[in-house]
Amino acid sequence: MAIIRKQQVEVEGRWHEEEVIVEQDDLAPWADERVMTHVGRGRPRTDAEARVTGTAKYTYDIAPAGMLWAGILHSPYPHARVKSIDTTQASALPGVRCILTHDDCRHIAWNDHTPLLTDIARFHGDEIAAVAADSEAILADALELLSVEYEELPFIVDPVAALAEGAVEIHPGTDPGGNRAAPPTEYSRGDVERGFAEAEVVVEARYRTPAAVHNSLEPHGSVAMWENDLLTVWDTTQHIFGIRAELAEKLSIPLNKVRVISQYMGGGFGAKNDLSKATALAAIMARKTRRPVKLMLTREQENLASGHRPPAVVDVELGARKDGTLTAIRARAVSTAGAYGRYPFSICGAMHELYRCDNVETVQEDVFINTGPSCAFRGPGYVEGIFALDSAMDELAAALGMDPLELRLANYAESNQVRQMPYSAKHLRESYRSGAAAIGRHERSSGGEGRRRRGIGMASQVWGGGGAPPSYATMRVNADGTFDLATGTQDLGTGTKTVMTQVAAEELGVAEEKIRISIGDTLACPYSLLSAGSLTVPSVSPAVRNAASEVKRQLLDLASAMLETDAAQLDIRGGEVVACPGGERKLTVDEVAAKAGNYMIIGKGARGPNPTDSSVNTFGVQFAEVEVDTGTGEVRVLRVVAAHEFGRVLNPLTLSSQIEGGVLQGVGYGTLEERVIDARIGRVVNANLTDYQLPTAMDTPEITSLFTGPPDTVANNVGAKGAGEPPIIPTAPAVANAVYAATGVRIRELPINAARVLEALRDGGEE
Amino acid sequence: MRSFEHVRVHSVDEALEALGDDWSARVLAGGTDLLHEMKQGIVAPQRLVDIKRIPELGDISDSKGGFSVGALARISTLEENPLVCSRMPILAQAAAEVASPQLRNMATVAGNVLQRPRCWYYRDRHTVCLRRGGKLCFAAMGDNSRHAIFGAAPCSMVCPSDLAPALVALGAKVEIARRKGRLEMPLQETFRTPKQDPRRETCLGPADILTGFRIPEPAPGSRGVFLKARERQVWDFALASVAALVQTDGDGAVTSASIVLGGVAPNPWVSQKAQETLAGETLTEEACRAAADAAVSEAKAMKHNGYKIDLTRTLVARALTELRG
Repeated sequence: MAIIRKQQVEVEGRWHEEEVIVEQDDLAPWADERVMTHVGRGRPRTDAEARVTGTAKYTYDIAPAGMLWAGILHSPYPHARVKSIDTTQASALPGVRCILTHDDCRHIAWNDHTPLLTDIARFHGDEIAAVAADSEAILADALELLSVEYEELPFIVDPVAALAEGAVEIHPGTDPGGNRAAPPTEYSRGDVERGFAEAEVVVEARYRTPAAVHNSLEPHGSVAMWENDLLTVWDTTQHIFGIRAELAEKLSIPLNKVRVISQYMGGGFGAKNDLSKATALAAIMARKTRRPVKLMLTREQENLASGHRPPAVVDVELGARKDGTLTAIRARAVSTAGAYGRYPFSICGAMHELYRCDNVETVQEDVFINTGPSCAFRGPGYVEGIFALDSAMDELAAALGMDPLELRLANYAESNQVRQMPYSAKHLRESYRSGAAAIGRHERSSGGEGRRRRGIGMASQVWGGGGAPPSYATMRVNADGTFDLATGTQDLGTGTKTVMTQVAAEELGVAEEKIRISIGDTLACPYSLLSAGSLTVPSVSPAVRNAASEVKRQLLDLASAMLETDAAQLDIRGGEVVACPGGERKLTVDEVAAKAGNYMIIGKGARGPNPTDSSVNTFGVQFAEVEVDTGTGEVRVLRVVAAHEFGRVLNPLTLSSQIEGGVLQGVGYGTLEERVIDARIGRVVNANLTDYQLPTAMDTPEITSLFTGPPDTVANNVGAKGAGEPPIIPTAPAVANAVYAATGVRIRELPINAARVLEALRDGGEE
Repeated sequence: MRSFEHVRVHSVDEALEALGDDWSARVLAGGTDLLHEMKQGIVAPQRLVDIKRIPELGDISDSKGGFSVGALARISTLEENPLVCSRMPILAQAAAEVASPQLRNMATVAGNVLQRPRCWYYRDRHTVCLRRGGKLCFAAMGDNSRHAIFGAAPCSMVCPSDLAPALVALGAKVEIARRKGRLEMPLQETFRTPKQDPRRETCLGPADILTGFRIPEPAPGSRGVFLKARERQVWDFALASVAALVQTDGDGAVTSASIVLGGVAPNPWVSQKAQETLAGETLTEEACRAAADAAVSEAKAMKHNGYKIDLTRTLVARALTELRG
């Protein structure tokens, strides 16, 4: 039965209230004493062989007969008016099938008020025109032959300068104006002035984080194909149903005329949450040309125009008593939406939650500048905010002469101070303990030989990860005792298919091999939420469990009819129908399925409601050991111990992969990665993988993953929370704090590279 | 990418025939740099003269008074060649520091020495800088964190090669084939400073082919080392590098020293100051430090690359300290 309910929903660190429709019959959590057969076991990915042997078909591999190759012409200028586009030469090129400019797309709005293809370029990389041609080579030539006349406009690429009086306006005449992408986000509780008056020690500093590019292995792109009035789109996306809805709206066609497919994808990290221009353009050009169209971004375009973690400037002020008790936290953050970004991510969220403090006041400003649009990137806001906060906590510890871990323990937040409710579970103390023991924090004091100095630093993490409705799964029984499980989620490469299969097998009592899961197809699968915000496991797995439970109920119904016994006295274990209690075998599941034949047993499962009186979060801590060469400035992250709590561990193998990936991405963010824009010409100068440096295998530290705490039975019926984002959040501040421990100099700007280390040492280091 | 003609040649003479007097025809060897430049749209040759099938250009051999290294020798071969490893370890060390194993398997020795600048303005098709025929060095006023601290005017690119400083330190000569004949000249003399020619890094013309290197046998008692600093542990150009080759007499006094820096100047930078400081000295800690200070005494920082001065000083001091044995 459907119930309409209002509930608080958290996505990517932002809370909002929304109406959800939930069903009442959610299962009770698995009992503590239950012996797990499938869930909790380390299982390799179900599709590992397809992925490593190359038979897995990614979007780029899709090539329907007659397919055209499409591409986008991007603006070379950070701010310019398109005066004219001469398509004569390009159109005359044999094999060019379609050219689109802003004149063709005026009716399709993007980012509120701007068109799909713009006549005012607002960043280096803005989309000006699109071409579809018979081959990649013809496409490349056609893009070169498009002749665009630009009138260059004054531009601004510094977020702080964009707020200044008289700064160039990027979206003149829009609200709230003054280059603000949104009104300032303000938060306060208690009396921060009194808090600072009570403080015996105050630290204050400015921290800076760079623009970081997702650099998914697979760039954005789609293959679009129309068959009569049905549009099929193979897309690399984190939300097939979202893409379906956005495409239907942009193209003014019904939802059931759009099918979105994403079977395999090479990462998204938040950049693929929403419909991309590449996808919309492919669909439009496919309709115009009546041919399938493939449009994949080049690596350069991916870097320029497909989103990034915005740079941030964060001022933090902490007040504390001599015993370490925080009396006040004040912060001001300035970040940017780029030229078009959708919404601000909560940089100050962590300041409100991570440590206990009665007096907190924060403000965040988000401004428009002439750079590519920013978007969600793994732990958006919190990655930037916790770098500032946990660096400041380390500075406070030093000022107090206190151990950094003791300081954090002294300010342990027992409950959610923003929502004023208890946490469903929080075992961060245990993570602190186990993490500190694993890195050998007390055995290894800072030191090293000569100019190669070693040190250990730490940082904490809070994040959502509780998931939410709505998400659904269906499960069907086949006559041979196999099962088809379907859920409209998608697998970003994290192992979604594998863990969902484990959950279904556990609930149903059959072997994982008997279950084939379908995901990533809006036609074949019921709705699931986007795979972002660490949502997938806690949103989808409870629905899968409910579906499997419903299948089991129907199977046992049929078995009870076959056996002429009460279904309540039967159970399924290891593929067999057994007496309950007792356990003696009565039938096999195969026999029941055979009996059913083409009588269809279909189970549907829905994600149940979230708890209303407790806050579901994830917590963790990372300890990093670094070696800093104080002569060359080179920083090597040697070891990272990551102790996190995610409630029930569904699959320790895929979970530790998540942690390792997050830590490595955090090492890149902390020590290497930085989009470089020349402020004089407004161009990104390192839009490639040579100069935008991602960590390599050789830069990977030894990573130890520790999982803390029991299943979170308040969170959902599976007891598992999301692990996508938490592992990247504390890495960079842990590294920064380790660099301080090693060298005695504080570096407040990421990435901590050779240049920054040497400059910091020269400005005030011990050498 | 514009279309072009691919000509495969089987001898140096054939290659010379196929090249022209402007840069519209280019020599293709490993292709790890040239093909990338073409894809980036910053060069568009009409003809590629593919010399990969000229067998003798890949040889590494003992020859009178030294070694010959063919232009096409793979960097990975150099890294593993017993002759190189035992008698010119500095060159093997430099080879092992280049790029990544995959690139070292493709890239050639001559290509590494002749590779074009990695300056991000030079590599940006849209910013036509001085070196690409424009009027400005964008780095001088822009983000110059990866740029030169020596000889930076009027172009502040840095020599990206790891092999070039080592080869210069070893006193390598290059063999150049021209239609008029063959000639040999010291590698260091092939380089052109930006003042001499802001467009080309060497004196090799469009019809010249660098066919190989001749490296004199290092003198008995000489020791060499190559050190490179970089952000990533692999697949990264040098923030700074140093090739140091020092010969001492029976008393430990330096009789000759080659200190050649990479990543800090438009060409391999022979540090005369450091070499002079070392002459006649024994390699005490103090002498090493004095030479390191001398090596950067004429360095000039731009807005973002001051760290390279400290870094270079450290590398030179470390290289020399290592050579003390």
